[in-house]
Formats: sequence, C-alpha cells, structure tokens
Amino acid sequence: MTRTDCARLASLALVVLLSGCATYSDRIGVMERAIVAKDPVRALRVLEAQPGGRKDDVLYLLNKAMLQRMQGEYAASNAALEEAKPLMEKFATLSVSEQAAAFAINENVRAYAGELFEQVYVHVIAALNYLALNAPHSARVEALQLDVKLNQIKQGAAVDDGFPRYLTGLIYERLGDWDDALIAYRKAYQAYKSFPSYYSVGVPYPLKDDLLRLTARQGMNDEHERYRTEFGIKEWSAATSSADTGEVVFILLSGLAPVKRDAITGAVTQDGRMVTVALPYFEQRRAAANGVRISTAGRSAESALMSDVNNVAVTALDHKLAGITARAIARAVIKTRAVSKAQQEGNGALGLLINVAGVATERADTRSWTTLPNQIYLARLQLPPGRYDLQVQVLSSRGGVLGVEEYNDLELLQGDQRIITRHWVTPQDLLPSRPFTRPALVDQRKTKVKESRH
Amino acid sequence: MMTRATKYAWLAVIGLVMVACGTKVERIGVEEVRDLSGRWNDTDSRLVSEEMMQDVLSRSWLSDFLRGSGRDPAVIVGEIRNLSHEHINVTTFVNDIERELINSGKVAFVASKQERRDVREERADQDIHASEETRSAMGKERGADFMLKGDISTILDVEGKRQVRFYQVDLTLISLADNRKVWIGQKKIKKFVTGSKARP
Repeated sequence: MTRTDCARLASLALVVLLSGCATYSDRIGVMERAIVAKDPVRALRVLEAQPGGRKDDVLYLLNKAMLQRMQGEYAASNAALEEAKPLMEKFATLSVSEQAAAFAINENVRAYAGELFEQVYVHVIAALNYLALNAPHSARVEALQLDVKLNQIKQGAAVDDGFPRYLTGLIYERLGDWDDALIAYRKAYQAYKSFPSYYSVGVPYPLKDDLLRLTARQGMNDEHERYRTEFGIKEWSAATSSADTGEVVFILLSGLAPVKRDAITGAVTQDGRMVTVALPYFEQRRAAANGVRISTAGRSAESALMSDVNNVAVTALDHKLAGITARAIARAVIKTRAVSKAQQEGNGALGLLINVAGVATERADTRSWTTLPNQIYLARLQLPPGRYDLQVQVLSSRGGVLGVEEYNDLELLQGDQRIITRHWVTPQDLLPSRPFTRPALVDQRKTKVKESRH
Repeated sequence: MMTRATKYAWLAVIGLVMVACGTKVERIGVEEVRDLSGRWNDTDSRLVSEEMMQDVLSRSWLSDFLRGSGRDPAVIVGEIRNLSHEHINVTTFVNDIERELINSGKVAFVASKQERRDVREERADQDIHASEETRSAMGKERGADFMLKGDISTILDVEGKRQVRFYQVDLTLISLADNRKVWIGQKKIKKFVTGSKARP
C-alpha cells in the first residue's frame, strides 16, 4: 500500500472510532432503569459518568434538569435548563461542517438541538420548577418566553401548545392577571380544538370550567353564552368565585417519553440500486398512571388528560421521516460510490475497508428527551380558605389505585392557589406499548416515499 | 518527499492553528460595551442606574422635603417587579442607585424587609448576650419617609432570526406619609438583534 492509502485508512479508522457503534438510546438504559426504580440520585450519577460528546450537551442538560427535579432540587434544575436554552438556539442554526459530515458518516454528527415540542417543554418544566419554588413572578417570565416561542411556530407543526398555553393561564391567574389569563385560556382552547387526531385529547374539562368562570368574572357575557352552547352546559353557577375561595391544582406527570430505536431497512434508489439504510422509529410507551383523584374535607376531583407527549413525539418524527430517509439514501449512495471508485482504482483492500466503515457507521439518530413525561394529567379542587390534608390517589387506566400520597397541612388563604406537581414513574413505564413491525421497503422511484406507521 | 521549505510552511500553519485553538482571556474595561447575545447585560444595568440617579437627585422632591422637615429623607427599597421576558436580576441597578445616592450624602437609605429581619435577629441576640454599654437598643430604628418601587417590562417583536427588543424600566418614589408619588423615573432601551443563519 502506498503512503496516501495509509493516510486514507487512518482517517477512516478515526471516523469509525469517533462515531461509535452504539446509538444514543442504547446507552441510556441503565439511567432509565434507575429512574423507574425511583432512585434519581443513582440515575444522575449514571448520567454524569456517561461519555458524551459536545453534540449531546443539550440532552445531558435536559435529562439532568429532570432528574434534579425528581429529587426536589428545583433551583439546580432551572440552572441546567437556563444553560440548555442558548445551546438549543445555537444548535438549531445550520452548521456547515455538520451538514457535510452528516452526508459522509451519519446523522449523529449533528449537534442535537431538540425537537420543536421539546424546546417548548423546556419552558413548561422551568415554569413548573418556579411554581414549586413559590416564585410565581419567575414563572411568569417563563410564561412570556413560552408565548414568544409558541407564536413563532408555524401552523401544522407537531407541537403540543394546549397544555403550555393552559399553564401560562394558570400562572397569570395565580398573579391575579385575569385578562392575560383569559387570553391564554382562549389560545389553549383554540390549540386543543386544532390538534391533529393522532395526539388529540379533546378539550379537557378544567379548561372549560376556567373559560366559563373567567368570562363570567370579567363580565364578558356574550362569550360566556357562546361557550355554554359550545360545551353543551345548560346550568352553570358562579357560586365558587375564585376571589373568595382557595384552590388546589394537582399536576401529574406520568411515565417516561418514548425512546427511539434504529431499524435497518432496504431501500431502492432512483437508479434502481439496492442500499441498506438505518432509520429511527419510536418505541412507544404507555404510562402506568392514568390519572389522579384528589380529595379532602369531603370534596374530591378527578383529573383530565391535558397532554399526550408520547403521540406528539411520534407525530414529530413522522413529519421528519421523509427527510431523514432521503438523506440516509443519499448517504448510502455516496458510500457505495466511494467503494466502487476504490475498487476501480485497483485497490480492493481499501474498497473493502470503506465498505465496512460505511456499514459500521450507518446508525440512525435515536436521540430524544426521554425523561419527559409520557402523559400529563391535571385536577383542580376549589376549597374555602383553611388548613387541609390532601389525599391523592394515583389511578391506573382501569380506575384501580396504584398509590396514595398525602400532602398534609396545606394552608389556603382567600384567593390563594396552590400548585402541586408529581412525576410518577414505575417499571411498567419502560415496556413498549405496541410490537414493532419492520418498516416497508422504501422505494425512491415511486413519486411518494412510502413509510409504514409503527 | 517534502522539501525543507514545504516542511517549515506546514509547521508554521500548524503552529498558527494551535495558537488559535487555545482558550483566550482578554480583560476589558468595566465601562466598555460588549453586546453578545442581545439579552439584558451589565451595560443595560449601568445605563439605567446612571440615568435614574441623575434624575432623582435633580428634582424638587428633595428640596421640598428638606425645607419641610429639615433633615435628609430616608428611602426604603420596596418591590421591583420583573414583568419582562427574561430572568433579569433587578438588584444590580437598584444597588447601583442606592450606592450613589448614599454616597452623595443627600439621601439616606434604610434596610429593606429582608435585611431588617437579619438586623433584628442580631439585635435580639445582642439584647441577651452583649454588655450594657455596647448593646444596640431595640425600638430605635429610623423609619423610612419614602418607598422606591418599580418594574421592568419588555416588548418583543420577533420575525424569524430578527427581533427588536424593547425594555422599559419604571421606578416610582412614594411618600409613606401621604401616599403621594413624588418622583417617577423611566428609562427605555431598544435593541435590534439579528440571529446567525449558519455556523461553522
């Protein structure tokens, strides 16, 4: 072999070593098992010990923020999120070198900037942290940032803007900004109505209650009547005015977000050649906890499903899959051309090595924010001012009780609003909720690239 | 085979690249303006406190009070609300204003609610443990004559990578005797930020 061949070989070896053989989701199994064993301290240790390039910095910070949240360290969690925000902005801009590398190696060389819905959820989690720290003014700052972010997102993007808008409404109500709260609830209502069917949760009853209550309070009677007809509610009394009563809001974050795996498929290129590509797919999960019932002093309320993060994530990937597939096929074509060029030059060994390197580096990008909850439930209970012991029953999908928690000695003043959040994880949350079916053969010669929903 | 000249050229190139790759630290003046991300920074804080300070000392409320009561006014800092899009630390420019006003000798500042708690704890401790001559007695605090309150709010206009950020800081001085607002200070800052479309 000549000197130039040695140089080429060395650079190839470097490329193979740098990209690694395990995908992101293969590496996080230990951390996830620690989380469902209700040991966030150990999970955080595992996360810190993992090697990770600068490209996965965002995911490291997001996971760290969730794990610190689970330990009750809300201020540290917010510090991690504040660090992640400018990084996500920076990585969302196109990088010339990463684009070039992605065509030669695989998608993992791109720095992960977070899906759109994940970028929105950064603000949601930060707001929940500030509410837990009893800093509603800081939560308001996050609500304003959410508003700016959601206004920038185009129509039709796979984003959950229902629960984030509802949360901003809750925060404005907490601070007594009734007009801002009503605007936020209206936007939430529009959002919930326009969800695509795959992640639609209907219009949750707490939102309906809030719209009726606030329109009555602000004296917007026409709008109030319109909502009454739309919701089909004949009788509605403003007996429980929020100025006289206190309120407990319980938010249940249930389970863990789905994880991406990679699948090797065949594909047929435009010129009829067969190549192998690795495509990502979501291993969907179903959360074990499907609601809460909160009760105290003879009153109780059941929760409503506010957000199905699992299905939002799947839809977001679906929207991107055509692009990912096209790029993967282009990459496979470039690699096969490199192999045949080496073979034409009479260098069989080099050709073989390029082939091996090409196959070894063909891994899908399986990065996603898996420590987000799978679903979000919310229950609200209006109570007269006083001291209460709140009992929370976590319910399964069949209505059975998975666990009971007590929040004792909650003091509610007049007009006060207490927001309690809980992230409930069990080992069942890691189980895939549906079996994986191999994706259909991708044929670029057909006008529409075919994908199978799995 | 590389000639000597090519070899030295390569060494020079590698050397230059290595130099550019290390971490650089450059000390800059405190007054120098360096805007990196478009968010609220120390320059904004300094501009606000400078303008407010010049304004508050040059108004008639100070001379009116001196004439009326014959002593310097005591001001307490109340709630400065952050109604903006960013987690801004409002205490930096409030501290700047406090420092300049106290140093000017015309206005006295008394401790705010949080600070008073610490001071009162210390005084209670002294009541029990300190000697008669050196103890600071309870019930001798200086009451405030005015309260400084305010808020900072923003208006953002975002389109793609471009945004116009508008900050408005409003501070009000309220007389604790009769609730009159004796002074209102306002500072507006506007920035035009263009995000980068690509990175290396």
